[in-house]
Amino acid sequence: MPLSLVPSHKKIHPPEEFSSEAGAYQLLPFRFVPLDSKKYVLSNFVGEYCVVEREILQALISKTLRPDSAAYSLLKSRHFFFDVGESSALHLLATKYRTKQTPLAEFTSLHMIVPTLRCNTSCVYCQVSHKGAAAGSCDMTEAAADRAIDFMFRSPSSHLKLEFQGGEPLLNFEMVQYIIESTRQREQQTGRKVSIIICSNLSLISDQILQFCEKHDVQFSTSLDGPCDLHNQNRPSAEFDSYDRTRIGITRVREALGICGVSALMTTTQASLSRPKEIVDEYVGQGFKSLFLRPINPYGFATKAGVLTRYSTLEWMEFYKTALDYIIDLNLRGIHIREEYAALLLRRMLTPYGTGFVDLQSPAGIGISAILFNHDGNVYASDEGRMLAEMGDPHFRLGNLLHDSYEDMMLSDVLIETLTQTMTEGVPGCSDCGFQAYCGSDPVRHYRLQGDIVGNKPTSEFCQRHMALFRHIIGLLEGGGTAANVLKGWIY
Amino acid sequence: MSGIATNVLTDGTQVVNFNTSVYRLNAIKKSAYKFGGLFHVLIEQRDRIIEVRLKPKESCKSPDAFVGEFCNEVLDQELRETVAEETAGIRDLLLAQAFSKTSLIDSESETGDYDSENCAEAPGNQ
Repeated sequence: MPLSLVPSHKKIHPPEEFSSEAGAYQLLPFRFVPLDSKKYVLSNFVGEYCVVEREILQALISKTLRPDSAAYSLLKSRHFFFDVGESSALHLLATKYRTKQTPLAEFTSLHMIVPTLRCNTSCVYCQVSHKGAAAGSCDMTEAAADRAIDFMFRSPSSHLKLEFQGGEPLLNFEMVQYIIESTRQREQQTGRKVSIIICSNLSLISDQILQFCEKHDVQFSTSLDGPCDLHNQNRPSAEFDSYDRTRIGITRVREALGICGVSALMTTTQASLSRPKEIVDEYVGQGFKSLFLRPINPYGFATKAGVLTRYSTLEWMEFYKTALDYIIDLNLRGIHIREEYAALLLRRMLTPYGTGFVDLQSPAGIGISAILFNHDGNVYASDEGRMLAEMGDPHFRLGNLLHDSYEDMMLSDVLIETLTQTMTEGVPGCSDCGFQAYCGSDPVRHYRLQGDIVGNKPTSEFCQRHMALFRHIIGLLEGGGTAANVLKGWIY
Repeated sequence: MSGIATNVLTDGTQVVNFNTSVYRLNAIKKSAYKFGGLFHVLIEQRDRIIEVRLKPKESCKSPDAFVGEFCNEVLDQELRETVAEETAGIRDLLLAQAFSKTSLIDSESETGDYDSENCAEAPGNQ
């Protein structure tokens, strides 16, 4: 080899120069929380986690970890500490942190419109105090709709999403049509793209509606609470068999718009608790590839009828665990169905990317992830804020489309104050929690249940539920094997 | 338990003393917040002793066990205080770096000269 091609050895050091000395490392910021009586979950600056015994945690902090130990290599590779003088860990962590915070710059993505508060079912847990199908004063006007569309296109988000909520939106399909056509026209003018979803019980689906939705690339989301008797118990109608209409509606939507034309979610009532497998079977039987197991929300008829208080967080967790185990088992038997709550938590835990799930944002996702335009033009920081207003407390009302400007509403005291106070990085009980990076704030729920937008975490149902969910999912992942593989396969 | 002395008052209030040479006030306050759902908590400091009075709420079914849990929680919070103290500067640096357009960590990597890294003998540089 010519001498000129021989690389300089000046920069090549013997292996021993790369080995660390015991205690010669610098801790990086991290949080921790007990997983069980022996193990702790440690999460680094960006939420990447390790599960270790308490002795390891103590050794890490007291810098007595042996450099030749497996724990040393694991914790160093996951950026819980770095060797003094080496900066690559800092660069990587800063870049990952920036990636994780990127959705904040996107600003509001989800825009919900309530074209009518009228409804033709009387769900026991209705969160908005539905009105009868003939109550015409609950319909949105074209003037309010125009302003709602203007408002939506002010958002800098690159992924605008328009969702029709109710009431039952199809009871005012003329307004739904008007808004969709106006939105599609505005898309052409601006070169932007809006995903559109109608949340409906599907009871009023018709060929005319389906043709319109196919033409305008509109999808549906519906509620399916389980088998016929359970669904009808939760979502009764005086006019028709609620389950039958939904089932037929699902079939018709799929025929017209394809298998992805409709998704479904369920709400857990006390009657659901003993039937987790039947609920999952109903989804499998109807050909769904995913379901979202949701606890009940503390608003509207759910509180008036006392439905809310009929089960505890612990009871819901037992229901959830049984259903999740069953879903994992189905997947292992070749029946592919994903549980959406677990999937979005897994995405938050195992990837550097955020999720649009409004309940798990820091600062809170109200207003800046999602916003709601009510039938009367009132604008609420979230759907739950609207639900609260329907109960007589307009605390989260940002203004009215007909009277207030975008700036007035997005810079309103109630929104700014709430966002400022709900950064979990600085919230008591959250700031040190090992699950902080995955969790978030739900100011409307805490305001409703505890009278405070931050909430008292030791007594918070939201905190108890998410702590239990994170522990359960990490337990399954740590158990390894096929269950962990199924869960990891749900990340998207 | 090292550094901890407990006493039970007639109304069921449990009194726990922490030595300030072992425990930080901040760690005790954070633990008190966490156990606020189970106990009414009063914290007082006298010289080198921090006295914590834990009066069980109705929801606290086994006060003795939870007082033990409280003491363990103070240990965990102590560890958290140690980590927070040591990493405060790095945390600020990481946050600043995450949203900076230039490197705040090692400016040399932004301005360094490739040739100065003694690569003159590499074939591409002949």
